[in-house]
Amino acid sequence: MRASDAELVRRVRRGEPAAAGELAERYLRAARAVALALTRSEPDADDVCQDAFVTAIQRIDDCREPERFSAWLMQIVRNRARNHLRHAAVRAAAPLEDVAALAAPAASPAWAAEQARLRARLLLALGELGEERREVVLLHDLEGWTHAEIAERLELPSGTVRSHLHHARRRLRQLLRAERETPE
Amino acid sequence: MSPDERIDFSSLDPAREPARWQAVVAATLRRAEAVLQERRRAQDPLNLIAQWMRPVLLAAAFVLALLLPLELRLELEERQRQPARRLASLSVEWAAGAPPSRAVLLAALGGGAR
Repeated sequence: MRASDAELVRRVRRGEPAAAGELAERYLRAARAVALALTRSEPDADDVCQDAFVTAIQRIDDCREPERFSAWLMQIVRNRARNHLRHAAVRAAAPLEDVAALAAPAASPAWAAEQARLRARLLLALGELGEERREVVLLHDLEGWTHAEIAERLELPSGTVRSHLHHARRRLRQLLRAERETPE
Repeated sequence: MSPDERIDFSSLDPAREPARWQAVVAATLRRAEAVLQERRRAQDPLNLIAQWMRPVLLAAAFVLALLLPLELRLELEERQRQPARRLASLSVEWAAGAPPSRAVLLAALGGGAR
């Protein structure tokens, strides 16, 4: 049976790495999506989500509602991301030089260039949305979270989540279409 | 295209570069493991006792450092008082009709003169 978040948090408090691994499995991608929504930079998002997760493990005793671990983690991610943006300094978090060396090697240069262009367009368009809308649209359309999960984990009313998602998608489509139609 | 259709974010999906994402996850878990190892060490009963013992031992050493000179001083005073007590006791015995021998009296007086 799948352990609840509260149970995993209790096990982390006892020092069990497997429980931390399970929490990472559940929420590290979402943490990255939230970090990406704020930083709009993939390398920064990788740094921030890593840093935020480790901070959450360090401060696990401060998680007053273990059943709401994900909401608590996302708040740490937001704080870290804002801090990261403020200082705009490379953190001593990860050996990301090693990680960078692992970047997709197989694709053709043309495909890689097209992907990079697409990423840049998406990140630019995301920048036109408010922070909350960015988080909602990334968690829903990239991470596959449901409206209910987003509402619970971001501590937003369900109606707000639906509205954010609707407006975010509409605005992103407008921006991406306009960009496509603009001659280079 | 309906505005409620998903936006294709696949180019931002970390899974598009599995090796890179796995490296990020592995680095995160390594750091988390180090944190938890430290946590387990701190929760170890022997460590807890050691942590509890350390301040107690420090306090004991502090009290000992305070009391030792006092004890030495009291002992010195006691040693100084001993000949006077001996003389007093000899005087009482003498008054009761049991005079001490000359050697005993001289020894007691000699101690008092020291």
